[in-house]
Amino acid sequence: MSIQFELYTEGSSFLYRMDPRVKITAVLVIFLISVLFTHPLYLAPFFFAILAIDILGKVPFRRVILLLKSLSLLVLISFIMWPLLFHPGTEIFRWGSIYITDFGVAYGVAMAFRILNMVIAPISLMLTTQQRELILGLRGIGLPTKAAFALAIAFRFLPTVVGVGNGIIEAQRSRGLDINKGGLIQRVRNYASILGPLMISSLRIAQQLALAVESKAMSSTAKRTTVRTLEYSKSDRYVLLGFGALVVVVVGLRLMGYGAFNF
Amino acid sequence: MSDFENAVQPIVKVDDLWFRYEKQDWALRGVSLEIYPQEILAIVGQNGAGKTTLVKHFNGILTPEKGSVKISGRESHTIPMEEMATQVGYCYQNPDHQIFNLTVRQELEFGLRNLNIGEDEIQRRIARVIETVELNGLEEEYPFALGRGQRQKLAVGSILAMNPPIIIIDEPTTGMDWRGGQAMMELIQDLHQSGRTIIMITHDMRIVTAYATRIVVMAEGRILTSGTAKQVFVQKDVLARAFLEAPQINRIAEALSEYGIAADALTIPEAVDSFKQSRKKG
Repeated sequence: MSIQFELYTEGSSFLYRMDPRVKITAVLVIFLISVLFTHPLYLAPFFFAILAIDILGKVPFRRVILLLKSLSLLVLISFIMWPLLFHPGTEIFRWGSIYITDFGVAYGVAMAFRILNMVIAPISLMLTTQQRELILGLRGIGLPTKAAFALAIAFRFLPTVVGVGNGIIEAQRSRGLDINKGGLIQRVRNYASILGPLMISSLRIAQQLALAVESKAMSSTAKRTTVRTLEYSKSDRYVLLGFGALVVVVVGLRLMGYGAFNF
Repeated sequence: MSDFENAVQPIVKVDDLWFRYEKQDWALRGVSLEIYPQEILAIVGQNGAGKTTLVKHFNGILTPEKGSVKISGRESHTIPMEEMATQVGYCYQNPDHQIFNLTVRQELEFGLRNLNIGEDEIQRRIARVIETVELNGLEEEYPFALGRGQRQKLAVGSILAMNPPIIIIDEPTTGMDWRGGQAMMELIQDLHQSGRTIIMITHDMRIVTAYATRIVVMAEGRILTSGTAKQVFVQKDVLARAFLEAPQINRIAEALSEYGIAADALTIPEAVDSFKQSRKKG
């Protein structure tokens, strides 16, 4: 079948060549920043910076766009729901008992950027890092091999599960269930009928994978060696240094009270 | 055969069909094929030859990029899903991909419930299907607790419940022991005798020879040849291009032809008879 079952896409750029440990650190720093800041003007620049780095680093942009599209609903919900439910600051609009405030809107925008940052950064990592590099990198930043393997494999199997899901949808269509038919409630019910079998299939895949991995002595307690060992290049060190400085600046700004709302 | 073909309209008509997955290489390159009612058509070819891609057009899962696929005269992708389910039954390569209910009975009922059929009629049909696929007494079992052969039968049963005149079976005997495979083929023959058109994809040349009324050989998204087993298995050059081999008994017969066995024998009785004949003459 021709469905792509892996996120990694061949390519060549500074992002592809970068040490996986550096890339993982960068993603973690972006997580930290996204959680620390709650102000849209502090979160938005990081989103655009990541986009810029993706373009410069020749990340397959078509797939990034595709991802952003599928995220758009979640982002939109965050953007709409926060202002409706969260009411700090001054009221700027009222319709009956529903009202929104200026800080509420700003907070909604901030949360939308938080989601975008926290998704686009790890996805950029996955798109530019081979699975074995990822495992090496995760081990390199101190994760036990098993945990590193589990994490990498989880991402690896996301597209597989999507493939299985499509297979189930096809099989159900062949028996007369068109999941895109009917009103909203009917559709939700239709999708629910896919979740059950999808879960059963996924568990079966996981079980088989566990056996396959075990047959290659995964649970051996001996210290594991690797064919490749990672080595920081000069530019890797500069990038790490840069991100270290960034963390200091961000934490400093937060401690001084910047980057968040004071309600 | 030609009189027969003139008299009967094809139930499936494929005309210059081209298809590719997501702008990649062409998976089908101009396939034309007519399938007539009550054939047992076997589609053979290497993995990746386009067999599954072709049959997925027959029940509208895939839409042609160029060309057309007509089922009883209507474009396949325009037929609504519920109606299609009563026209073309599709049994997937791996039965586990199409089993998703918690009991055998629910699995068999699934399609019928989608068609809004009355409860009495559902129960009547299920009873008949269970009889046909020989799953008596297993109605309340969990499908994945069944053996491979029984799961395959369940998958066939679940499409049979909707009583489609055309049944597509992708690899009916793969992964089964001899007895299971034999039972599956007997079921297919029964379905054929009850008036259905069978389209099967298989790699087993013995099954092709024993059961198919016509064989279609595919390679690289094209149909190389089609005809009866006798017509197809003598075309050694075509078989080579499709990376296929005639059934074992045919290759033995060919090797022993100078000792009086007919070189074109495709089954054991045929080979034995021809050998006996030559002995009598000799």
